[in-house]
Amino acid sequence: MRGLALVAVLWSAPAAAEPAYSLSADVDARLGMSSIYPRLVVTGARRSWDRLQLGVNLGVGSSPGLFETHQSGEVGIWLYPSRSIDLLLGWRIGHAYLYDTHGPASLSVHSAIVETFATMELHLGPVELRVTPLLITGYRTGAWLLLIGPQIGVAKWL
Amino acid sequence: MALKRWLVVVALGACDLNVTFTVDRPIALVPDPSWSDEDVQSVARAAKCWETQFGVPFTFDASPTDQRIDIGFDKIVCIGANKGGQYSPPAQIDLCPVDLVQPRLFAYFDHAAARADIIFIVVLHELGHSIGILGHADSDLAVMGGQTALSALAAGYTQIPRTTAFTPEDVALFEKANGHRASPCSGEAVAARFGGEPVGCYCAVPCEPDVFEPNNNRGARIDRTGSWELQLCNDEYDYFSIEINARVRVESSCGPRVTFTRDSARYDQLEFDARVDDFLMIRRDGFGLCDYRLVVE
Repeated sequence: MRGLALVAVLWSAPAAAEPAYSLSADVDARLGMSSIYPRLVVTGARRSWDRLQLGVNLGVGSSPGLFETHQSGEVGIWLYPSRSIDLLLGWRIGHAYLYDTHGPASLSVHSAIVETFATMELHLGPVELRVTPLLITGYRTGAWLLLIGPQIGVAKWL
Repeated sequence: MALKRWLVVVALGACDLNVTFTVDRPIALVPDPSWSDEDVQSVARAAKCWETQFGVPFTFDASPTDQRIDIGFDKIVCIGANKGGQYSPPAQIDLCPVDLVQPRLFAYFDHAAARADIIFIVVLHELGHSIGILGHADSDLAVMGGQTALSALAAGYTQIPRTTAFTPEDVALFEKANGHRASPCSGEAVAARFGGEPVGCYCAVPCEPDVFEPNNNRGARIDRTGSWELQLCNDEYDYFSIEINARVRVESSCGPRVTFTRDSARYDQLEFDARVDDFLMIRRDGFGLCDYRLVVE
């Protein structure tokens, strides 16, 4: 009940008057395999009615023994807990390509990618600081490969 | 507790939910229909280990139970170092295909039963996760650790072709998840390899040492004709030094290996004309109660 009340407050808070389009770049660390796996993700997005986020993502990541690239679509809901912080609750779905060279037998996998996240956007002036404490990423073929980790980046509203 | 389990599973990269199975009701194992009979047998051997040690009621009959685990191959499981398989709650075990996991993790498996042993070892570990063991053992020897004891056994690196199936740490992890369960095995649950056969788990039956060859590292002296009923159950080898010229024959239904040595040359045969100073070694492959008769005439 308390959670519902919180959502109601966030939803009813006055929306910031932001431009409609944004471009952002984030870096993250994927955890869950035997090593930390960094990625760079670029997102172009449009915000509609100050609430609805629609975007596309391109990501690339690499670590010794592993390379990843992905393309995904993004949908989210903007909430406004304070004047200096916006909160985006979102989901991404798309395609990922993983190329693994651990050991002598390399392999490549095409999979679906599904992500869920809660991103805080802090107003810093010309750019926004984006902080995602926990980004959950699932790669899906017949089985799931599930990774987690934080993400941080900057966004520019156009 | 549910949240904690969920987080542990996530941290392991295992999968998404908090469901494992109760060992109080049958748990059906359902390999992918495309699997060969030999691969299914490897799953059966892994299930038998948990049954022999802890009485876990794994079954291949899915009809009478609401607990079912689907088992298949999926190469996304191979992503990352040191990954051979994955238990994904609520009901799925996926294995890295053998042609990928063998060069990565089992490159030293070059024996005939390599494929069977790889599937056995990986499934054995993942079944442990399915019955509530969400963490891993600290010891590399453990089934829920690096499984080096079983791998060495499978690869033929062990002088004695058997080992305790589960380490005390495995037992502790199982009991933490499921409570204590008495083993249906009256003796010791062991993993063993018979000759070139794949590794499996068995219930070793204890028995009394032979009087004629009491395993005192000196060997028994054969200085007269006669016949002796002997056992290879509490020991791996029986030794005999021959001190008469005689016809020696080994009769057994369990096929012990016989090594007959003369002038540093070795012969493997069940019957031979022995001379003074010949040496005879009889050994079992694997474990278990193995009676044989030594006839000297």
